[in-house]
Amino acid sequence: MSAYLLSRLFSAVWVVLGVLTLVFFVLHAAPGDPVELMLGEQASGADREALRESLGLNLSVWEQYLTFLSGVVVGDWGQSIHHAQSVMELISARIVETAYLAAMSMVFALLFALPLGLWAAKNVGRWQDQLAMGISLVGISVPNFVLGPVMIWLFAVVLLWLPTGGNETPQSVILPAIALGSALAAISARMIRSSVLQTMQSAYIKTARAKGLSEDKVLWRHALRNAFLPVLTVLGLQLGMLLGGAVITEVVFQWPGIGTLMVEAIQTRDYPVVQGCMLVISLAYVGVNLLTDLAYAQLDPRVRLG
Amino acid sequence: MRFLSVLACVAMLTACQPDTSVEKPITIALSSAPKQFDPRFATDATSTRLNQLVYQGIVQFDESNQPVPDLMSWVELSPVHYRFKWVKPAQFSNGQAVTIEDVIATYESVLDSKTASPHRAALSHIQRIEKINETTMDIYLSKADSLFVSRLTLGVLPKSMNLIGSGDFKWVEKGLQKWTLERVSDARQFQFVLSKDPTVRVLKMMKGELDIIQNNLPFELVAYLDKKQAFEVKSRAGSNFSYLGFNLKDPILSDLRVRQAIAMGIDRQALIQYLFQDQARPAHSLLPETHWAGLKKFQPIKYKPKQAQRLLAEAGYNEQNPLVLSYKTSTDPFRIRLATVMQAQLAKIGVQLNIQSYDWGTFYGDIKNGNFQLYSLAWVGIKTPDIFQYVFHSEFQPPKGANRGAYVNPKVDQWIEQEDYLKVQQQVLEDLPYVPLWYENQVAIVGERAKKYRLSADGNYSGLNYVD
Repeated sequence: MSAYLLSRLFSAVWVVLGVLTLVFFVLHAAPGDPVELMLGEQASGADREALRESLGLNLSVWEQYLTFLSGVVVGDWGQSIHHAQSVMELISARIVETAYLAAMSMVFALLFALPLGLWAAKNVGRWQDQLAMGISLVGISVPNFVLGPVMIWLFAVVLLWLPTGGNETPQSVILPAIALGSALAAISARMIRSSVLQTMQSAYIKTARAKGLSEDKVLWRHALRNAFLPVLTVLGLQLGMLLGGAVITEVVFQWPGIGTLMVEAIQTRDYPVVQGCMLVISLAYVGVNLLTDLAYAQLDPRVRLG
Repeated sequence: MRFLSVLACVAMLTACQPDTSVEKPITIALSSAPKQFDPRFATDATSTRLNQLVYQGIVQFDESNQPVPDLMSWVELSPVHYRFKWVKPAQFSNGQAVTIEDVIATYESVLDSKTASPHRAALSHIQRIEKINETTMDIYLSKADSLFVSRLTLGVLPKSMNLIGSGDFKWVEKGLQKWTLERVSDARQFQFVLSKDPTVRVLKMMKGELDIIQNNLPFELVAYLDKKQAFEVKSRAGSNFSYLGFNLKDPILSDLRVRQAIAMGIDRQALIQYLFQDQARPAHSLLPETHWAGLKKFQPIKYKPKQAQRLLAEAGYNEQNPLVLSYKTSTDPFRIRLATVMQAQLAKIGVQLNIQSYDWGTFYGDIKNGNFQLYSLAWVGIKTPDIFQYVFHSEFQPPKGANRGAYVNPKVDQWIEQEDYLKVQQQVLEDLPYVPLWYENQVAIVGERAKKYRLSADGNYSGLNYVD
């Protein structure tokens, strides 16, 4: 197990390095000059050069790349070009919020998907199944930029139950978590349904039934654990995506996450911030994938890591 | 026992009621977050507008964009020598007096190339600043500049360069999504809240979470709120100039007939009526007629599709040889919508417009590098007529200036150098390096508590001084 962990961590370093390298060079190759965007066209050549030098942009791309990598190693992610803050400060203030929203979305998705998927599987072919799958289809189909404002209108403006957005009260996370988690919940519900149905055809389930176990016990004790494995893979990938920030949800609900920070940084060519965000996002993906694999081994004893 | 529990719960809930004796801050929506609270570095509109509330400059602008004293009045002793005197004693929000040393320190900091201030370029001809006495200072220039005083709007900081101002407001909180200011005169608080989505801004207004939404709202949403009794829509003529820029290096667009045809093929009145819900007025020049240097008499560009077709035919374009042009714009949905309508209007005169929308960095980079045929942008917050040099003088092509379309007219160059701005504007209107589109109105939706808010022509928030 520890050998497996070590090898995964070793390969993770290469994955993160690959992502950072790709992002660094694509970003620097893209048109648009951060100095120009900062100083405007009116600035003199000398002022431009002075700023370029102070930002380290006068160095060759390779020198900048090596400076960036050495900074990453020692924990110095540089200064934002447009904000009067270090990249670490900017990101750390937001990553906590992003992680919290991602976790809450995941909780919502599971709380919604598990009963819905099981209900549909238990009543396969009946109206309950059709209703459950209809609900999940709506969840997949309605985009966040529609669902978000509609929920704000209903729950914040008409019913006055919840705030319209922000992150100031504990209730503030409810609407963005539902908006962000709805598609994931819908996909998971469908996966749980099909996975449970497949598992229920297995020989060991027939044996369990033959032993006289009730249908509920067969489902909860024997089928669900195996049926959950493919769902776990999807959840792992989705969690990585959620940790990468959800720009639309963040914009609609004024959630101070990493997604909008990165989009703004890309637009203003704030290289250090984009690179910092990408580092965090790639680490999140790698970390979540590793955790998913470990969870796999826990759920299915046949899976041996190493 | 149950009764006691209920009683306890009621008591607790009552205790949790908000304290109504403390007046809730007036809340204003922001569509983009301020990035810089240091006036030496702020360039984005939101930061600049908030900083204007917190800091005072040597001068500010009046309604016709003439400089008027803010902290200091001035006398021009010679074209390169100005004397400044305190208008009245001023204090920073921490109670410390604003001194001549503070003013000098702020300007010297900006002029120091190590500071890398984006405002240095506009002030780089300051040779030296001398303190004469406790109330007076002199500024010497390396070259004459008739608009010099207009450049002294930079917020003054204390010598320590701590971010404290002497303006009507002071900072209370600077958050990630919320920024609170306090009015110095009566401790009234004003909270600026980030809300990027226009629909959500409207929903927040309806819920009572916002008191003021200013600009950046689709006009159909403005019209929607206007119908609600709880809100008032305030509107006033604005000065932000939208235009369609041509690349005159392009062989097609270097032909004046083509530029005239495009100008006549765009029905600006219809665009203003239907897309802006009449919250804009047709533009004729970079400076509006209300500006002291603005053009007062001019021949407006009219929508004449038949004449436009004739001009295109004269230039050699017809159904067999249609005029195909690319039009670059940003990814802003409203700008794309405008581009789409213009595309349809120009199709009627036989121009096939291909719309290309890019993220801001790419779009701006392309425009600056001359990698375009047509593009649309706006000049925001223009105060001084030296913008004509920056935009239309032949020597001010990028990277030196913003003559992005490579417009060259020796007569215009000469008039710019002679500061004869009326002739410059007349000639530019004839040569059409730009198609002047419109000046968008400043529009604010205010709730009951902010009814006394006053709009300014450039969209600053000084009107908060009037709110109870």
